[in-house]
Amino acid sequence: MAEVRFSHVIKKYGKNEVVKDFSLTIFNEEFVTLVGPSGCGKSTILRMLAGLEEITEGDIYIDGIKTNDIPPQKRDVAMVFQSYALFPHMTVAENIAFGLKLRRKPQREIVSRIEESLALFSLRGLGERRPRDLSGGQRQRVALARALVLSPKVLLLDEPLSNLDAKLRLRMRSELKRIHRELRSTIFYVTHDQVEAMSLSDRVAVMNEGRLEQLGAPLEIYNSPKNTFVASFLGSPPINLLQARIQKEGETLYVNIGPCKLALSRQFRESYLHCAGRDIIFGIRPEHISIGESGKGKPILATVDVVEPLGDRSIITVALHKIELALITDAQTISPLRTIPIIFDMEKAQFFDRESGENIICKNR
Amino acid sequence: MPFLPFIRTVRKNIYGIIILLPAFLYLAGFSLIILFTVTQMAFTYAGTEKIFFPALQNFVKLAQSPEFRSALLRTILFTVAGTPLELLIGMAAAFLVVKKFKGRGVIRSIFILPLAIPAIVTAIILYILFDFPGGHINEIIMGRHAFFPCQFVEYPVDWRGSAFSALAVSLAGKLWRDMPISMLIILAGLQSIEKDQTEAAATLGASSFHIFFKITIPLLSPAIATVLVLRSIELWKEFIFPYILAGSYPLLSTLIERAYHEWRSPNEASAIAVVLLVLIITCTMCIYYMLAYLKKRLVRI
Amino acid sequence: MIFIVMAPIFIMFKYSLSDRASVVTGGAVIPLWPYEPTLEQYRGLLSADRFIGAAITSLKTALLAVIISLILGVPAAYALVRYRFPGILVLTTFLISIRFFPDIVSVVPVVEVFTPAGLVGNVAGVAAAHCLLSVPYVIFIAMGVFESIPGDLEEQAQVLGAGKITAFFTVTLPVALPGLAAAAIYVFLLSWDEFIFAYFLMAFSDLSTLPVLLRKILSWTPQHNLLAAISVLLSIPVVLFTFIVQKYMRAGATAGAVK
Ligand SMILES: Nc1ncnc2c1ncn2[C@@H]1O[C@H](COP(=O)(O)OP(=O)(O)OP(=O)(O)O)[C@@H](O)[C@H]1O
Ligand SMILES: [Mg+2]
Repeated sequence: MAEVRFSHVIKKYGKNEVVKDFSLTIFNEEFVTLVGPSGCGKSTILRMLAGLEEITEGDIYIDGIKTNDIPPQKRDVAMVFQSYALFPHMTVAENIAFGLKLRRKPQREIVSRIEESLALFSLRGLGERRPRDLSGGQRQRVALARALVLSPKVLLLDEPLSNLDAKLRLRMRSELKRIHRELRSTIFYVTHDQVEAMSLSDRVAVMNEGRLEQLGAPLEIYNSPKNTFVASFLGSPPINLLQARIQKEGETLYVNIGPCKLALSRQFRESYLHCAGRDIIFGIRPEHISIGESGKGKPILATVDVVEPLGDRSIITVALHKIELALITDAQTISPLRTIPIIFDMEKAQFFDRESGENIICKNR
Repeated sequence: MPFLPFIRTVRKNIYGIIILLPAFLYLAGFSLIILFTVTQMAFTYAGTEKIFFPALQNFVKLAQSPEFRSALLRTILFTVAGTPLELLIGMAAAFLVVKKFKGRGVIRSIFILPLAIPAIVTAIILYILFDFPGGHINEIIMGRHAFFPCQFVEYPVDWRGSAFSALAVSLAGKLWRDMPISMLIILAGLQSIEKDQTEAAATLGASSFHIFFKITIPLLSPAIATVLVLRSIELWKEFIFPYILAGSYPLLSTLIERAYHEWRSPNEASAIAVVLLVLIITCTMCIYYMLAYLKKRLVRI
Repeated sequence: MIFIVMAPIFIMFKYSLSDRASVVTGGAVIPLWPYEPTLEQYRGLLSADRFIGAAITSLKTALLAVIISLILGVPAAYALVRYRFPGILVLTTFLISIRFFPDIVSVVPVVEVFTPAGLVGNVAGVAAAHCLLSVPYVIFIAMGVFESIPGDLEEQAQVLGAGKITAFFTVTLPVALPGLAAAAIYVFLLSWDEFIFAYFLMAFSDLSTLPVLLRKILSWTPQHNLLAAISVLLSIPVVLFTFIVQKYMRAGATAGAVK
């Protein structure tokens, strides 16, 4: 297995810069996920690593060796396409054997490796079928088996679960995690589904418009997003972003949201002191707003607008002086148009610069 | 270095260019040679002693020859009469098979059959049918068939003996054989018109007459344009039917053959070919602009 | 309409099966179906050297045309679909629309150019001329075939360790084969019933393709049933194949409908 390093990679189609100065290192045996909205350049990065797309500027290293000009078949990288790209004229076994045959492995080894991987991916008995006679989940597993049977240095997965229905996607997600644990391969995974990214990976890289916005462990990114884009991309329902202003009155810092005034606890005073008197964006995740009188901080009254029960929890949209807020609660008895007290967990709140959208704390660090 | 991007493009697509090249050279080279040769020959006058180039003598000679002039006239009439007929027949067939009914598949296959009969065979069948004195049609109208015992004429008709009937029979053959092509183009157009559109019009209270002229025909206009353009080209250059069936009344295309084989004058043959080519190009452009103009008018209404 | 479509075909069969008495009736009533259907004409034809020779010439020409057009057209179609360089659209349009060039205009220069090259009166010349007509069709049909095969398949093969060429031969070509077979049949038929080039290139030689043979026989004012029998034999492969590749023929016939 191997380490992959992107160093200042740029990709242009004509004048259109699709990937902008992308640098990232994936360590040996690591599972790194690249997330971002559609069209932000994720597939392009993956395809450059696989050698299917030329690199306009910058370098890509696999195990410290510069691979810019190595053709795809010599890179020892395996890739599973979003469409699976199973060869329709070959059986499942032939599909899996394709790479092995090209590597001129002895027949006996090929047969045993096919058996092994059919077993590993619970495909036993399907070896003689054609791809068109398989279900979506089975096809997906064949594609994985075909890639992994070569024990590649790096496994690239481009939205491998996006063609599956919701239930199957959940099952394949845990399957993938198991496979990663068993085979200890270096995996570079692309998705636009933030839940997949959070649940699968060791580290997550968030991209937007060709730029790497933030890289870090899932929880780290979730809890201290670098800017408003990252903050709102992760989490469902998304983080509440409100126009606000920081004001200093005496020794205490206040956050003014519309007519509401929320005091900041002392421990954050230092961090935000320099923002006093500035317009900011105040970010708070739905689960960090609680309903009730008791808790840290002063309750504010809000009117319930919409209630969306999810079973164990409900998503509630409330109006706070014409500002809409989403919050998550496990209370079951809330009905629309009621007025309820809510409390913001100010310790979990994020503050972003109004102009640049950057997180004020992260920037200071 | 203005060449640099060019060289880079070439380098990047080198395999593509290599495998594209043979076909490109074959087709482009062949076409260039043909165009070059035909123009050169048309403008070369082979006098008894000297060869002149460039010279307009061939064209002058042709313009003076009554044979060429009547061939030109016949060709124009042949095309002008044939093109709308091709369209009408194609549309009739397409409207017949577009509706769903039992046995539609069979009928559609039958309608495609003429395309599967080689043109020369169709011409030969018509030759047999309209032969003189013993052709099938003659025998029928003379009442010599058991199943059709009425006698229309006393003496057999020499179908190939008059310009009108000979060319009419040729045109019939051409129309018969080309019907499937026009039909398929119109059919493709009809099938791309969504049912929603006509149904929406119907719910708005349009009569089926209205629907046909205000919705179906305008939406069908790209297909109609294709039929008109392609079929008129085909009719200008039609050779086999008039060659077999109207040998004494040449069109421009058959006159080319005659000039080449009988008059032994490749230069005059080429000159006729050039005239024909110019006619085809002019006519195609005319149709094209006319349709574009019509379309604009239709949209404005 | 069905009657008009079917009648000539019926007549062709009828004459080809007619015995002498049903064709040349001295004033007697002519039957709808021959008095005594006979395969005499066919038997005669199949033992006539002239006919067999023409059939073989037709076959050879068509096969040669198929081979040349596929070798030229398939790689070109592949390049036009898979590579993107400036001007490729114009190039595609140009290559495909060469088929609209009137054959009767090109036939005289073709003969004039082919004569010094020794391509007149032999199979190679006719096949070469037919390729001028068929290569654009092959490019057109094969482009459709390659467009329907996702590029993912080839890229996947490359990632799994195949070079560009291996990927093409192990993955793309086998998947494309049925569509390319249709293109081959199309070319075969085009060459099989092509008349103008074959006639001009073989008019003064002993060699004839079947359509040319028909024309040559016509000038001896032959019997109707002989003509009809040759016609039937000439049509049979065309009819059979047409219905096999009907889907693709339709695509070819309606080509240009989308501009
Ligand atoms: N061959 C190409 N030529 C020009 N532009 C391209 C080409 N391929 C991709 N692009 C552009 O590059 C951008 C990034 O594409 P890419 O496929 O990497 O997006 P993505 O992040 O994978 O999106 P998705 O989640 O929808 O798969 C897009 O804006 C796309 O339009
Ligand atoms: Mg993508």
